[in-house]
Amino acid sequence: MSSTGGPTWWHTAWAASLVAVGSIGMAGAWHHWLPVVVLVVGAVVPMLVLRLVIGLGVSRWAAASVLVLLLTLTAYLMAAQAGTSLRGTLEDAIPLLLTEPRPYPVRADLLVAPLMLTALVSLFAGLRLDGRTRVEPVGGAVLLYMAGALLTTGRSDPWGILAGLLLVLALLGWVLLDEHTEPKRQRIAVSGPAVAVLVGALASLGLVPAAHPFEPRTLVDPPVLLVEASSPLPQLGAWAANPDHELLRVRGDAVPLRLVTLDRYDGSQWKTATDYTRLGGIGAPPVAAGDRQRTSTVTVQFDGLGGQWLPAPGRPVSVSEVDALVDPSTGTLYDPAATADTTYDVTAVVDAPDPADLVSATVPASHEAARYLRQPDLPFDLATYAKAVTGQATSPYEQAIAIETAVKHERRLSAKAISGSALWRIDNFLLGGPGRPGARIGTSEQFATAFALLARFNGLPTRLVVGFKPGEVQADGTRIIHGRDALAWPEVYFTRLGWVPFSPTPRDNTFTADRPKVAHAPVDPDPSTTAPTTAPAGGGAAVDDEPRAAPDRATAPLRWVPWAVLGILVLPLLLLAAVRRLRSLLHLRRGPTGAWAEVLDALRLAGLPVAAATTAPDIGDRADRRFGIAVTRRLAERAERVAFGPGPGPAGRGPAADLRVVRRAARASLPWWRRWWWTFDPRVLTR
Amino acid sequence: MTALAEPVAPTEADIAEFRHLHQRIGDAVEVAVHGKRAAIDLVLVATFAGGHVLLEDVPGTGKTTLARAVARALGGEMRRVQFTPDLLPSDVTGTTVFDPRDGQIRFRPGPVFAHVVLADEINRAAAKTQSSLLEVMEERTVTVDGEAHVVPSPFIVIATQNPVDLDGTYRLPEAQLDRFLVRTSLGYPDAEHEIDVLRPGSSAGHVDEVPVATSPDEVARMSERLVALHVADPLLRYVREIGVGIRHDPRVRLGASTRGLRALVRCLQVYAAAQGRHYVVPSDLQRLAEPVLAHRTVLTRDAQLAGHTPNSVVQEILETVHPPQPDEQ
Repeated sequence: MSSTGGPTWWHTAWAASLVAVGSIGMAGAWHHWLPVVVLVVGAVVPMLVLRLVIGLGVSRWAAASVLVLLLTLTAYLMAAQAGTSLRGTLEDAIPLLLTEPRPYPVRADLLVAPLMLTALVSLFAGLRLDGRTRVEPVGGAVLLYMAGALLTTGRSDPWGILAGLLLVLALLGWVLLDEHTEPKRQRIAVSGPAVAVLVGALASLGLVPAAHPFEPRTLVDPPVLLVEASSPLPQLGAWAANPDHELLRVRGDAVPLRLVTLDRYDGSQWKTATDYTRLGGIGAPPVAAGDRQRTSTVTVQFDGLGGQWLPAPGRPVSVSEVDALVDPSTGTLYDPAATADTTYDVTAVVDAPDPADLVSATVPASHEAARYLRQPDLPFDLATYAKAVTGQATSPYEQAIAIETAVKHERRLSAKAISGSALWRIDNFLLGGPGRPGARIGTSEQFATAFALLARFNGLPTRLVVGFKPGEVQADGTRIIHGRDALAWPEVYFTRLGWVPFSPTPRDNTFTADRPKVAHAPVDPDPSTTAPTTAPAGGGAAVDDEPRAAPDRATAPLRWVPWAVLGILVLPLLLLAAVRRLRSLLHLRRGPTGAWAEVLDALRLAGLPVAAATTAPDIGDRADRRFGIAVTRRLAERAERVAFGPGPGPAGRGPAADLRVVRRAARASLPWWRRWWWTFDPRVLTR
Repeated sequence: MTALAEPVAPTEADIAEFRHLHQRIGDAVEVAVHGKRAAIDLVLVATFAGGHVLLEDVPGTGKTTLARAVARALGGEMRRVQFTPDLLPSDVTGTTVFDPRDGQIRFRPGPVFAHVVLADEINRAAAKTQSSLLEVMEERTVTVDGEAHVVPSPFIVIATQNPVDLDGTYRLPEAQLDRFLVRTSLGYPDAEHEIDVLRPGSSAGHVDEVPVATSPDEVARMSERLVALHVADPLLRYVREIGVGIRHDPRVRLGASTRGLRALVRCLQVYAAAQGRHYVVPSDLQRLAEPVLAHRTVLTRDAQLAGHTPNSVVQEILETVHPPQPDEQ
């Protein structure tokens, strides 16, 4: 786009609109209104202030330099609010944005870099408005749009609406604002079909499925916290020994809660996961989730549980604890800052396959499931037993049911049983005769571990979960989870169905609901408490692909941001009003000539142009005709008498009353929605 | 060395008296010249400013009537000279003749020895005859045989010329044009006044019915008082900026001289007083710039061929020069 004239406020508004629309794409990475406001303000205010200051006659580079300093100061304050240094925030901006779980929490350190980028683009576009070409606002908007697309992997504008809007704005600028020699009608004739074709092309591109969209996060390794924590399995005995001890208070869906999921067995114990990252990262479990999943949301309050594990009703998708970390492979939640009275909201998904599909379900043979089959060689007797247990089964599911039944059979659940998951302990538990320690007696730890070992031996990918039953419902709707609700259970992975829990522990019917007829009838079905949902075909993705932004406390430290935004908007207004008021006072001190200056200000604000060669009485006549009054010319003549006549003017009534009439009439000539701006309008400062 | 006496600025009463007088003379002239109040006022401004007027218009628009009516209203002696190609300078200024009665050589005054001289169709006389007016218009004296003869005061030359039908005419030289304070034209009257003129029994053109509104002494006295009327420095700068603007315009070969700008200031003083003001304002200048400066402006050949006129150039300059505003003082 080329131009031959200086920029008008229309040009500035056009450029600010382009940059603002371009910046909205980046705000899509937050799923919150505040970043939208911050980035739009960052796109609009620097450019407007820059053009205003340049309009007042200040050197453009001096103005830009001062604004960059102000911008740096703002970034410094934001970084300080986040508890980091400005330099560190800027240096780590890219890695931080590419590793922080999406959607981003509303934190100052995450907003600094996008805000700086937006404001710098805004300033640059504002500076280049004086240039011969005005492609910079378009280029800047495209740059911001691309940054937003990279931050969100294109999710901020899935239908290309922002891109289409940018296109239309750019063409509108070319048609309406650019100064070319060809007639405007010709430009409209060209731009109409161009808009149709380009928007159509964008819409068509938006419909093309992107099988493998570019994900810049793959270029950066997310920060991982190594946690060396022991398995809570041994605690099961302690919890069982204190059955009435209150562990948790829960409100929400009545579903089992998972404390820790264990998938590594070394022959002596189950090991917990060690690599934890922020919830929402790009890490994914080794095997795909099932086609059908259900989402549960609960509010959990620690009562007597303790520890750093956070119980969740499945693989978490959002949690209100800002410091919570997750093991991507198992979904185990870990909060290094958890206290004895921690309370949090957590939303999670679990596989909820159709029971009818279980009978014919298969298990994966690929290497992905190998980790769930890995275990030391079983002792000969135990291996023989494992083979015998599933001898009659014809499908993986029947094998699992057979193992479940076999483990339960003639074995006793006892809180006082010897704890441990070592092979010898399980061997004793399953095959031990009278007199051997722990023979045929155990806690849910031994029952679940025995199931897992037998299942893995028979080729069923299996893992162990330590958690809790739904608990006891109270009068106020909450549920209290006691020590007796603590439980360990195994889960078997079936292809396309996901993880299916089993209940090898005697008198436990937690997971027997909706089972096919080949298995034991469920004991305690409660389907009304959950809502099954269907995941997309080809699955891997959870129901909520982009987890909901939790009403987390991350926003609390940023409560100053709305005030800061408000201040950024209000302070310039107050400053303008003060400057205008000061100007009026100085004018009125000069008497009739100052009153005439005020009249000219009023005419300027009312949009009444004054030709360069017009004398004051002629201006007064025009104003009187325009506003239907008869005092403006009188003011002009009084001013001329004082300005051009000898000595002081004649004594008499001051010009204040006439001036009020002119001001009131001029302001009333404006549309009602523009009158509020009268007090702040800085255009008169350039008169 | 004797210092010049500081002129006394006119008082409010002087201004009011002059305004009344100006109004009275204008009303008197309007008895014979209908619908031309602006031109009448302009001629009166030139009169009280001590200058001369060039009326330039097609025949039949009332130039001569206006000149005669003004002369009659002013109450002084009026002479008319019909300029023709065979008119001699001595026919204008006068000559010395031998008196056989006493054998003396005496000066016989020409028609310029009057308060108001009507030089009708001045461009029809030869350049030598036109030039005979130069000395008397500027110096207000006639020199014959080495002896200077003073014309009466006030002295005003109202010349007319026809801008069309130029065969057998002699274009007025720039030096002589500069002697005229104001050049204006009358134009045809509007419909209302033209019908009024056509109506049988109308007083239009009947110079004899114009009442005498003042006397030469009163005109001279009022003119003297207005010399000290206040002109603020911003206005003087405005006058100069316009003059410089005209001179520097690429279409102009010769712009207004300092004498021309000084004449403009003098006219501004009289005009402001005629409006009842004892100070000059920018709109006064915008009103008078064209009649005072246009005839002193000589355009280049190219500008003339492009259709520009001195009047249009002066108007354009007026529209580009920023007048002083009260709030800037």
